[in-house]
Amino acid sequence: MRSEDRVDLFAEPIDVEPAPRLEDGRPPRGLTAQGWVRTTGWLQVGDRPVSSACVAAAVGFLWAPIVAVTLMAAFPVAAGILVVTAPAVSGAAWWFFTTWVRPASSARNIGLKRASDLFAGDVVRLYGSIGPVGRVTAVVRDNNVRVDFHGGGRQTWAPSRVVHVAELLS
Amino acid sequence: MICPGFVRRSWWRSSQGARLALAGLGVVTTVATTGAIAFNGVVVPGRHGSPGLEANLRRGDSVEVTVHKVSEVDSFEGVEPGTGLFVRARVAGVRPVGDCWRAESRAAAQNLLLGKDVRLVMRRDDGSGGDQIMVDVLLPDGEDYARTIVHDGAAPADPAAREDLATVESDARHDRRGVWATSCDPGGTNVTATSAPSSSAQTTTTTTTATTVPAPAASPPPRSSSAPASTAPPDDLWDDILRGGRCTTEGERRTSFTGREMVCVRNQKDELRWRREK
Repeated sequence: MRSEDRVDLFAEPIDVEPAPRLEDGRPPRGLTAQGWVRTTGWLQVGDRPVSSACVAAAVGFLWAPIVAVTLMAAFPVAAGILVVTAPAVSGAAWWFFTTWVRPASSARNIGLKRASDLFAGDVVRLYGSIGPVGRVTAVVRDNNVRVDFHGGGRQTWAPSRVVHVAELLS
Repeated sequence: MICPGFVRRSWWRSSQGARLALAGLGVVTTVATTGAIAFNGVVVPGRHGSPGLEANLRRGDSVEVTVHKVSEVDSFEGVEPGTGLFVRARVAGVRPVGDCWRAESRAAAQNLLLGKDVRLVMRRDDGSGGDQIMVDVLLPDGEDYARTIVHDGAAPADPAAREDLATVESDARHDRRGVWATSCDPGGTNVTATSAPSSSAQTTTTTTTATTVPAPAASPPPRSSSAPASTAPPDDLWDDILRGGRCTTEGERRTSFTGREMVCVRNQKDELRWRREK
């Protein structure tokens, strides 16, 4: 049905709070039903995030010798194989987990902003320098700053609070 | 909206430096744990009832161990460096010598084995039922320990375990090396007078003299009774001495064929060899 000024009242509502998107317009892998984005990785060198799969591989490189020592007497071959394969298996397992089981996006921090300087459309870390990311949909400045996020989330921050602005990469 | 727990929020809010510090702590903890597990696995030498290598090895398997105790010419104890597992081994093909030559025989074994990293090749045809494993032993230079010890006359062979050593023992007897240069019966507990020269083939049983260095044979060695007895050692023995051949007792002295005083000393490789006395 169309009104006189040709507005379709039964059309799909226009999304006034668009979800976070990648640069190419695709939805990020870690986008949850609640509207925030799960991210992976907790280390960033310069502007380059270190893949958490690499971190997992390093962890595998550490725990493998422990298990290998205990297995050495009874299963020497298995112990040797474990030391060699554990890093790769650990990294691959983490990659599988963050890609298929609990999808998470990689993201990098591109700057800092005071809460009072935030605007709708900013993509920021919700809790610190790593962790989940949300897209700001509204900012109400009062004594504190009330920030609404896509999906219905809301945070109230002190105006001087510094938040990390992030860029989603996958 | 997401409602993370305290730990997750703290982790997310931590600085990158703090996260790296925590990761470093994890690395240190891991290394310490590895070390603790590794060193806890080392069995104190001589501790009985601990799981040893014998439980994990089959015939033909080989393993490198560091020898820390030589109890007899044919038996020793060691530890595998990689796992710290303790092993008590018996050498196949070698028989312990009787009392008369035991000290020299053990000294020769200690000279070859003690503190050395040797490779053990497992045998499962022991049948003794003891807690020792029957092995062939390869010395660090690749030489077969049993062959070396029998060749030097430091112990008789046990042909029942290794037939190939019978000829080696035969040669040692013929050349009067080690115990075969004495009147000691390797399989017995008594000795004949070591310093009494005699041209007779008849042996005289007495207690051993105070001489620590067995003199050249005064009577033919066992199973070589037809060989001519002589108070002087065979020339090839002296040649061996002159060539810097292996000796068994540190400090032992002899006069060479040419009248030069020789002494048994430990060389740079920690082996006992004949050298001219300075």
